[in-house]
Amino acid sequence: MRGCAHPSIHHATPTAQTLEKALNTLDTDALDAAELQDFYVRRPRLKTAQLVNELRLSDSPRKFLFIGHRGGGKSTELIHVAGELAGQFNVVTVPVYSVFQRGELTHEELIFAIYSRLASVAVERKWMEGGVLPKVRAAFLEGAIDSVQRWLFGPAGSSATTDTTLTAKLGGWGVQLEQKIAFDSDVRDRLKGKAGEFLDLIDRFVNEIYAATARPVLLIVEDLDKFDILSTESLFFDHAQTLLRPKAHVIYTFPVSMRFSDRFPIVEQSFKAYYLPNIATRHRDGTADAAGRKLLREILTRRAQPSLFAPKVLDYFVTHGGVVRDLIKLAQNAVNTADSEGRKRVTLRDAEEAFSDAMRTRQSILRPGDYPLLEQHDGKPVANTPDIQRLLFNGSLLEYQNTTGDWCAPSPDAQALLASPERPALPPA
Amino acid sequence: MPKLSSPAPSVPPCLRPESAAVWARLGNYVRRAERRTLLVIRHNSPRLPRELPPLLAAESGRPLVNATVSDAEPDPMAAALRAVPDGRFPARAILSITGAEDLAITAPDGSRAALFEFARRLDLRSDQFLPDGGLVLVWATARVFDALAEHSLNFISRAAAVLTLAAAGEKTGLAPSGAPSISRESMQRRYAIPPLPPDAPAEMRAALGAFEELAVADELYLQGGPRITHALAAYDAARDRIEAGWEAARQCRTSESKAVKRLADALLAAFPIAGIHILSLRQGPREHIAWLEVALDAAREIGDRRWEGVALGNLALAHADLGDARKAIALCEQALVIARDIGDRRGEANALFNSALQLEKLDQRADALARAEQAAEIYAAIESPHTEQARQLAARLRGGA
Repeated sequence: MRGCAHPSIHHATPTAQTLEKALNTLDTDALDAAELQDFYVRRPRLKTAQLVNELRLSDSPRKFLFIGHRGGGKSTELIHVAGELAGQFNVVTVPVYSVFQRGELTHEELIFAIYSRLASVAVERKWMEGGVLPKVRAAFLEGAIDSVQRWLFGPAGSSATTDTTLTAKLGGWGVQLEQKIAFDSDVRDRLKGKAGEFLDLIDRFVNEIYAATARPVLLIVEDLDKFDILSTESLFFDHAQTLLRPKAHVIYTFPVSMRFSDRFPIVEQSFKAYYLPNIATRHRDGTADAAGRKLLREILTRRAQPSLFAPKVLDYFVTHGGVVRDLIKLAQNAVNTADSEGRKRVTLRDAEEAFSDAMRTRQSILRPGDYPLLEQHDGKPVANTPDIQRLLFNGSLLEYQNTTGDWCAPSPDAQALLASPERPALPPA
Repeated sequence: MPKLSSPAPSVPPCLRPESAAVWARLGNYVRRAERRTLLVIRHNSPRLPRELPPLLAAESGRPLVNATVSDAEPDPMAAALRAVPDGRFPARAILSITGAEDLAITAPDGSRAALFEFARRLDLRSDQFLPDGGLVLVWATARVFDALAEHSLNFISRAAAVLTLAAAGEKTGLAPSGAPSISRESMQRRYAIPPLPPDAPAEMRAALGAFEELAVADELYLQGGPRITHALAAYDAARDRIEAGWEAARQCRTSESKAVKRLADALLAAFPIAGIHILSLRQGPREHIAWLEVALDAAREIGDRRWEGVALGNLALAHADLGDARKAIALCEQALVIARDIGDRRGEANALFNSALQLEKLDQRADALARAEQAAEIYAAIESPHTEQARQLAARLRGGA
């Protein structure tokens, strides 16, 4: 994007040859469709090919869980899955966290978010305008949207337009509705008890879209690991039947910490779980995992060429990175330090300084009692306790599957704090 | 895009010289970032979010939008949108967000609702409203940053970097603020320390001072987060004084003055308890046990059953740490008797719970289960945070029985 007058327009960026460029290619957001081509690295242990295959072969709507750590690459993998299936499915991504403006999420709100995104994407991509009886379909769509307006805002809430095309009438409707909902807690209260109505509308949309395009709908429900853990638990543990009801294929992201709950086996009976394992740099016995290290290194060298880093710096990033987002962030911060000090390549000192910053942030997150817990669980299977779930949730403890039997280890920054002479002790019971 | 002839800009006068490198890093992000970027800046003065963003904007050629959030308006985007024409941010804008003074204050009940809401809304809305290529700077004092780290993981984990800038001429550094200031009176009440008698020797005064230093460090430690480091540093700096103070109190037990002797015993009974968290880390197990044994003896001397029970309970933990489960159980038994005698429900539950853990180690699962269940019942009755822990232990013992 160097020299581009309008950086708001995204293009796939090739591997950075300079630190200035690397600062931007080492970006921690999920890869978009254009960037996948340049930066996506396929993970050998990942079973997304199976997921894609299962979706392709399935005659009836299936519900999946996509489980992984926050920052572990779930969104990128799901964008990749969406790309693989784009020719056969109408894929709708539902970024639930962007729709609602608070940390808790009810099942009604989740269903509303699905409905809202499905309806607005269907309008924007003109999915409802093909096939036979498009006028009937248009009438349904307008009627559905109008009824939602009336439920939520009363009769005066709907806006009249003289433009006759569907897109002109309803384009941007979903975004406007979501913005209204975001600011109006009373309206959100009115969603209560409406899950059934919205589920009916979702099903009707799914049917109409299939009739118009001859392609089934795949919903990818993102961000469920970003809400308060108790409200996400309630979604899956208390309202699983609601989540299973849409007559579309649905992939729900699922917090890794909830896998270690007594109630997870019940959820697993209804949803097919796919797991995005962390990329490990060592095995459970402490020996190096060469394949994992190679993969992490490739994630970085796809984005920035190796000559930008002094010897051993890439290895340092690989062993100190943790989840993919933290790895990229570590490299980006070190690149920024080197660039700001006028160097042409990143030194080990830059890398160490960036890692010290990560340690400081981790230290703010950890409680005194977490340190011995982390130490006790290093190399062990993940225990099913609230404290361990919290440590998984906040990324201080990472789970790996690269050895027989899953195991966990403190994140590299937490590991470094454990080794620090300043580590605190467990207060007595 | 404007480029600097020198990669490191000069340090503005409002910053301390040692912030030069971080200032250069911040400037580099502002100049180079082409993607939407969120940066958190830890700082120690409200001057910095006022004075620095205009400099960054002028240097980079980016438009600047300022937003101030408060308890009344915790939504930074709503605040910022009011400041821009037609509710849209200019391309490549710097959105500089700072909190009103009240956001930096933690309510007495520990509530940080406005802060939490602030971080969450910022995290949610930045994608929605900030154009790609825009840059969000969030200015947070050390205390605000700690709260964000504790309560808004999404926000912190999405920040490209956390940068620390220190203002020149400020008395307070960037060491986490909020160090506890325990008045001597409240401390003496909490640990049942009698007043310093007029005839107290200098050693006794030194002992009392050392005790206060230890209690303050431990209090800071309990606040968690970065304060742990500062608590340990405070202890390390005062360690010689603390040890000398403890030794002085021990010498004063032989004083002919009854008041001095009583004060010495009271101090010694409370010494290891006032610093229990730090001492259990910094002292070796034998030294820790030695201090607790002196505390036990002193508590018996002054007839304080409560401190006697506390000392026994902590001695049990110390022996458990050394792997001596039988000794630990015996000490728990003594602590249990005292707790029941004086009606100390929390002490009773602690003794039951800790002995259950040790009985489990000895594979006496039936006894362990009975104690864990009793502990869970008492913890639940007094609404202790340990209730779940005791229930889990009981469930584990039931499962394996």
